[in-house]
Amino acid sequence: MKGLIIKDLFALRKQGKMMLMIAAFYVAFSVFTKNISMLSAMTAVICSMMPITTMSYDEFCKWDRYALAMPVSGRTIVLSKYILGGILILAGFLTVSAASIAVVAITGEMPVGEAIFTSFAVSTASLALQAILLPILFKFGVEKGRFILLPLFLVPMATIFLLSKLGFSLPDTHTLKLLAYLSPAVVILIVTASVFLSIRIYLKKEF
Amino acid sequence: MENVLELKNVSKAYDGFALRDVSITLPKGCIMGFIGENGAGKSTTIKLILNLIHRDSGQIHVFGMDGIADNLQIKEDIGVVFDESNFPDTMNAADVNVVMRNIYKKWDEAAFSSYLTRFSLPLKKTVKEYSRGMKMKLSIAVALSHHAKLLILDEATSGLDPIVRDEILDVFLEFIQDEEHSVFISSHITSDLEKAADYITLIHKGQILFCESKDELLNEYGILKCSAAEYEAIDKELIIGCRKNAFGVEALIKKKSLRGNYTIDPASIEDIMLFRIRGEAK
Repeated sequence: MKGLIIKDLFALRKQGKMMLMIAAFYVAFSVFTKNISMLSAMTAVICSMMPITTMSYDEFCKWDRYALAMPVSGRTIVLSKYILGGILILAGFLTVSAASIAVVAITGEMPVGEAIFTSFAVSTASLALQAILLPILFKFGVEKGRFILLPLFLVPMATIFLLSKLGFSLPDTHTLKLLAYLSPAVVILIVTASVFLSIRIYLKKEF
Repeated sequence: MENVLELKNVSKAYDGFALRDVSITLPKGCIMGFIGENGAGKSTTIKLILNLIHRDSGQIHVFGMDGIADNLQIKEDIGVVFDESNFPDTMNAADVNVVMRNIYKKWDEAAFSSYLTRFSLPLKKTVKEYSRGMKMKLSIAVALSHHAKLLILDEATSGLDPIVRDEILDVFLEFIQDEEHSVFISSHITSDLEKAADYITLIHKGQILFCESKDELLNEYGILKCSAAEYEAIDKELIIGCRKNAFGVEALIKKKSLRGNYTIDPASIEDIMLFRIRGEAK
C-alpha cells in the first residue's frame, strides 16, 4: 500500500511543482480580488483530479498488471487511490485554510471561522466528487471514463440552471449551511459505498 | 523432482481465441523456454499463471501452492519481467528502489544497487530517457532483487540487440546456478532459448504441442534431406512435417527410429517449431 502511494507521488512530482505555482497564483489572485472562493474551488478541482492523473499514467505504462504481478492485491490498488485522494484533499484543505486565514486577515472579507468552514465544505465536496468519479474510472478506464464524466457534470449543472430559470428559488444560505453540517455523514456514506463498488469492479477486471 | 510450476488442463476462452487444456510442468532448478507464434497464447498463459486474468477451468500451482488462494504469498517469491517497462516515465532508479522497498518484504537494496552498477543504469536518470534495453535491464534488476525463486519473463528479450540479449541471458544462467531457482521464459527468438533452456514448450493456436526437455528434442528429431522418390519409401509415422521443392524434400523426422542410409542434419528448435506448425501434411 505504502509503496503504491509513494509511486503515485513520484509520478505526480512534475505536476506538483506546477500545482504549487498555480496555487501561488491563486493566492495572489484572491488577495487582489479580495475573494477566496476561486482559490478553494481551484484547489478542490486540482486535488480531486490528481488520483485520476495517476490512473492515466498507470494506464499508459500498464502499471496495474505489473503491480498485480507483485505481492499486491487488487483491493490494495483500489484503496491506495482513495487514500492518495484523501491525502491530497487534506493537504489542499490545510493549504487553502492557511491561505484563507492570511487573505481574510488582510482583506477582512469574512470572519476567520467562516473562511475555514468554507474550505472544509469545499473539501468534503471534493471527497464526494472523487467518490463518484473513481468507480466510473475503474470500470471504464481513464480514456473512456472522461467522456462519461462530461454528462455527469453537465446534467446537474443544467438542472440547477433550469430550475432557477423556471422560478424555483435556490436554497438560501441558512439551508445551505445546515446541509454543510450534515454533509460529513453523507460523504462518509458515499465514500464507503464507492470503495466497495470500486473493489467489486476492479476484482472482475482482467489485465 | 519437485515442480515449481504446474498447470493442469487450464482453459480460457475469449471471443475468437481460446486457450484449451494447457498443461505445463516446470521442475525446480530448470529453465523452460515457452515458444510459439505471436498470438499463439504465450502472454495469455503467463497472465493466467500470474492470476491477472480469470481462468475458465483447470488448476495452477506455483511452489506447490494454489495460484488463487495463495496468490500474494506466491508473488513474494516471483520476479516478473514483461515485454515493456511498466514504470511511470518520471521515475528514476532511486525512486524504484524506494517503491519496491515498500512492496516486497525481502527487497534487497544492496542487490538492486549492484545490478544497477552491473547494467550501467544511472540512479538519477528518469525512465523516460532510458533506451529500450535499459528499461528491460531495470525491470530485470527489480525482478532479481527480492530473492525470487522463480523468474517469469514474457518476451523479455525481444526487441533488444544481440549484445544486450546475450548479457541478459548470462544473468539468467547465473541465477539458475542456485538449484532452488527456476526460470519460465516466453520468447519467439528461439536461438536465445536454444542457448539457455532445459525444457521447451511449444504452444500453437492456444494448445500445447509439446512440453519436453530440450536435449531430448534435439536427440529425437533431425532434418532429413532426400529426393522425392526416397521420401516416398520412408515410413510416414516417423515424419513430423515436410517441405517439398524442385530439388527434393526436407522433412523433420524422428531420427532415432529411422533405419537406412540417409543424410540427416541436426534440427534446431526453430526447425522443430517451423515444421510442427508450417510443415505440410505427410
